[in-house]
Amino acid sequence: MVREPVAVPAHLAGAPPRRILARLARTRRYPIATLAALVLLLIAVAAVLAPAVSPYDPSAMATGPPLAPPGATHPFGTDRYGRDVLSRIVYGARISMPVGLLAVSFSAVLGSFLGLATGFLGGRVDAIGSGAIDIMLGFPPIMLALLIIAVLGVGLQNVVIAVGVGGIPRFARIVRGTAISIRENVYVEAGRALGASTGRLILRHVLPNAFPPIVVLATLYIGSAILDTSSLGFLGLGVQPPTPEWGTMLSEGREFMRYAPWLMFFPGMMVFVTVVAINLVGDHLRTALDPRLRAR
Amino acid sequence: MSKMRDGRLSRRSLLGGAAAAALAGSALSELVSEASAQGRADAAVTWGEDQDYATLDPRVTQSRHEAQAIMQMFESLLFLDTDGKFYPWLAQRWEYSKDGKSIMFVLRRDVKFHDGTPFNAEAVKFTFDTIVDPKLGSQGAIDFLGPYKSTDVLGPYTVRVNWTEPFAAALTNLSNPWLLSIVSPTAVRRLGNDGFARNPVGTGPFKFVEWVPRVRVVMERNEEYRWAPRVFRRQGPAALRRLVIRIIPDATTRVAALEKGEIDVCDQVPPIEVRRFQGSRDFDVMVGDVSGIPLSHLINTQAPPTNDLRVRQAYMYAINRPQVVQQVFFGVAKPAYGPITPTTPGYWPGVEKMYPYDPAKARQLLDEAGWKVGSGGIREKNGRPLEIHFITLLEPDLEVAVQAAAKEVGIKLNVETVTKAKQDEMVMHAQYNIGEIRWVAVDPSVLDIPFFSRNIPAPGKFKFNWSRYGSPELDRLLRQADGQVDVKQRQQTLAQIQKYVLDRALMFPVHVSAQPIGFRRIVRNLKFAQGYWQVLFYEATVS
Amino acid sequence: MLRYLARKLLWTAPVLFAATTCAFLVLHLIPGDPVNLMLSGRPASEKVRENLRAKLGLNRPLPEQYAHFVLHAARGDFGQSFATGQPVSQVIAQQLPASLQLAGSGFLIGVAGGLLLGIAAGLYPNTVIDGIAMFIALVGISMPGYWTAMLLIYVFGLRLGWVPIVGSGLPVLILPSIVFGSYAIGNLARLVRSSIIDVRGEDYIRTARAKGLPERRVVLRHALRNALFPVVAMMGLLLGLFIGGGVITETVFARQGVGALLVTSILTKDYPVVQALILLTTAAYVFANVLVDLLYGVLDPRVRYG
Repeated sequence: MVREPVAVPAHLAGAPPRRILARLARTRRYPIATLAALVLLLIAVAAVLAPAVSPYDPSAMATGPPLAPPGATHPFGTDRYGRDVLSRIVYGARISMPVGLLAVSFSAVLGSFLGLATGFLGGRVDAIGSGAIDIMLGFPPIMLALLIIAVLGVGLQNVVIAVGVGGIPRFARIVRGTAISIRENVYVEAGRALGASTGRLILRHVLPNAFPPIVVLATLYIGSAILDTSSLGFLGLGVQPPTPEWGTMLSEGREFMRYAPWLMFFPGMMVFVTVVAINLVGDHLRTALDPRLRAR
Repeated sequence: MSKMRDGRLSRRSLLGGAAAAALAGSALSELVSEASAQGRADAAVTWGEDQDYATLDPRVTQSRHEAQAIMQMFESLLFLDTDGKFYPWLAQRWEYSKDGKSIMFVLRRDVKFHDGTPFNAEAVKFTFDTIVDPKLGSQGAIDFLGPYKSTDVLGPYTVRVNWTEPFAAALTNLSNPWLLSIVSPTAVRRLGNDGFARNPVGTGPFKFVEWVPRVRVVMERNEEYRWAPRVFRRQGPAALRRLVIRIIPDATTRVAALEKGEIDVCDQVPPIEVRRFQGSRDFDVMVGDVSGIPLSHLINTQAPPTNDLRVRQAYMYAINRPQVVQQVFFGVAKPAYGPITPTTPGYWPGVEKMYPYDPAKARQLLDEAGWKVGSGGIREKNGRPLEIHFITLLEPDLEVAVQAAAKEVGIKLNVETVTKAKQDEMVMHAQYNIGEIRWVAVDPSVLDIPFFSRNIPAPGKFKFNWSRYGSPELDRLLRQADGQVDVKQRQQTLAQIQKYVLDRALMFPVHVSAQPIGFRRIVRNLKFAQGYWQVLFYEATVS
Repeated sequence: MLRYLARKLLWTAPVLFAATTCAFLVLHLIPGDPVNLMLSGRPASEKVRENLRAKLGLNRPLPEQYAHFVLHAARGDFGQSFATGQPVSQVIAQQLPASLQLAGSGFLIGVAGGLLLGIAAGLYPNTVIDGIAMFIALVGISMPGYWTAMLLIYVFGLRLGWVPIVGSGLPVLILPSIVFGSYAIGNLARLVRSSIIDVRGEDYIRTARAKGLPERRVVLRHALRNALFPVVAMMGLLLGLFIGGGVITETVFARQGVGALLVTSILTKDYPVVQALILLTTAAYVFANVLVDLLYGVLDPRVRYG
């Protein structure tokens, strides 16, 4: 479950936001990435409109016979309580997607802050900050997540934090690199010479430049955050039943694997499809933003 | 009691030969066992166990899982069979003193420990005295000794065990084959307590060979064994040459291992698999209706809204136990109605009539208590919804079903799944309306634990009176039952306790814990130990 | 280079110390009394609890417990597991072989699969072969490990009955290794592909091509050399991850292993075991990084250690 997003090339740093959009526009011709984006959009719409699109109440029991195989009335079958699996999966998107997004925002914001502080301020701040980053990197994300869950207990917010914390040092490292390279840049030195405050320099120069790698890393990281969330659910330490989180559903279905394989098949499929789509979009973003890769 | 035995007989006929042979008594089972009593003399049987082991010292353990290994290697003074009768074992005779504070035991003279040490009065005294020594860190046995005072050696084979007050559970507890079993004093002195826990030496039909933590415990037949209690038809050494316990915590894997023949007997078969095995040619299942406290909901009588008796009662009327239990356990577990299960001595059948499924009554009680149906079907009072905070650790699956039933009458049951650590914290700080308990126990004195007022939890004091209900009257009844050596009198007191607890809706019993044991049909003569959790392998054969 | 090594190794000391201290503090923040957890819900009397607390040293003040822990840990003594009473080193040593087996075979599968796919894709970029290889790689990094595991168990274990699900020996290792290796396959394939494509653009390949040498062989030799870098990096990652990565795989396959041990130890607050595991993982991570740095130097003389 521990996945390191593919590292973002360092030279990515430095592309101003306006150019990003232009590049993305130019690469519209990639049908697979477009398809992936559409799939994500579809899942997101389904999540938002869940009450309207799901055939049953996700927690209503005995909507059909228990452990009924997929069929006309229950396209994805029913679970041990006769709950409709399709409805639960649709509602599950309301958990997995936001948790993934929130966890990544959590790591991106805190990681960027740490990275900016260490990289731009340098000196003692950097020494201590880099040490902290190294130490955090020393903990495998799953171990961090388990420890955090152990301290905070299970539940939705805690899962966001547990999954998010593992990403902090990874964002910090990238942003720090960008910040260092920019600090030595001519225009920053010029700005400093002109008496611009550190905060202003960060806002005007460093953040815009660090933006592209953060976006790429974040996109790729959402996929792994969704995987981690569902993995925690699978271990029984994530979002709790009867909330229909995909990983939790899979774990509930495990006991019935022999009799009702659809209970483990469909939730896993959803995690897989979502993560594949995110990775495709992320890969595309990276290619689009990386001039070297695009040149090929 | 007779009702309970009938229940067991019907199950016996249902489960067929092997299980029937395991429960001694009927003519049918005699025939079956005659045919298969011999079996293969060099057979080995592997038991698939669902939990890891920490110790094999009966004086230290608290785990019913470790018990599965311990009771094959160790023996206690008396044997308590599943029929509720005591039989001589390491003690030939016993006698209560007039004041009920001591029991004298006359011991067998022909017993030897696996290391050759003779079993005698000294060994009994050594075992009990070391149990109460704080340095040992006893987790179960020390409580089972109750108000233990001392053991007097009256002769090489005669001892008197003394308590500071009359102790009604004494005989039951001393017959416990995995907590108050007698250990070899020479082995303990030689190995130290920690060493003994990994190299146990007892007097039982199997000897310890090897323990690989998290993997397996291996035992082999004790060829010297000649002192089986007479409840067994077999005498002399066990039929099996070798007995292996494999640790396979995951239920699906364990069942797969049984099907592949990698293990021969499998504990805790998931309910959905039970039906399949019952119908199969090569496998069978015997289900133990475990003694002790059933899976129950303890209802906090201090926190709103469950501090209102009517709300607690409404909750108990609202849930259709047979239906919920059928739904979750596919007919393998039975619904429970009282604070102790029917296979526990002192069970009072009157509990079965007390809270039938009656949603109309539930609604009426809630109406009376001022909880009116509000938006979305959830009841409200003074603008606050009727929410009951339920913390679950043991059986989240069951509670999801209960949650749906409670909603029918307008109760919003907020089921929160917690880790053990979190549960302890919430219990100590009274942050719950309902929590779950269940215990395997053979003596009804187990009722003290959730109902005695001194057991109300407090910050820093994790205890089990989660109803947080203390009354001098209930305390008096419990204390009285604990000291009543006379079985009949004790039974009456116990009936009063059971009624008292349900009258005040302190506890909602849900289902009897089931121990479904799956086994290959070639394995015969498995026998449930007291409590219906562990299986004794002494008589087991392989055909 | 020696100076570089010395500096790197010196740096690991504060990292490990900080990790240990964090672990100690975090563990004591976890709600719940380890004695209660040991008793796993059994109704034991206060007498039992007090005896246990004294035996485990939990009745001593926190700073004293910490000092005791650090002083003993420095000597490699992590105390006894609360759960089993065994020395912690022994508890972990018993789980290590299973974990190493899994990590080792998973690594082999990952490297073999990753190289194969990556080379195929790199030699025939933008063809059907490339498409298929990269699709497999994408699947590898996007499949939830536990789901892959369950599908494999269902198809090959339950339906077809080809592989045993429990037991010991090589056959039981097959499915878990595939699951463990699938992540490496995906990432490695991508890295190898791009390094081959890089090599093809280099001048010396053009020269070789001009001289009429069989291009594929030249490319392969150089590309493989380049591909060693990601393999080495991956090895470092896997070495550090064998605990974390094992958590899911070991749980789904109900295997022995350090990952499974970590989960149970955290949940039961088996302090001594968790502390030792945290230290072990962090150390593995840190040393793996140093090792990878060094290997880079061996493989590529151009890398200089400043």
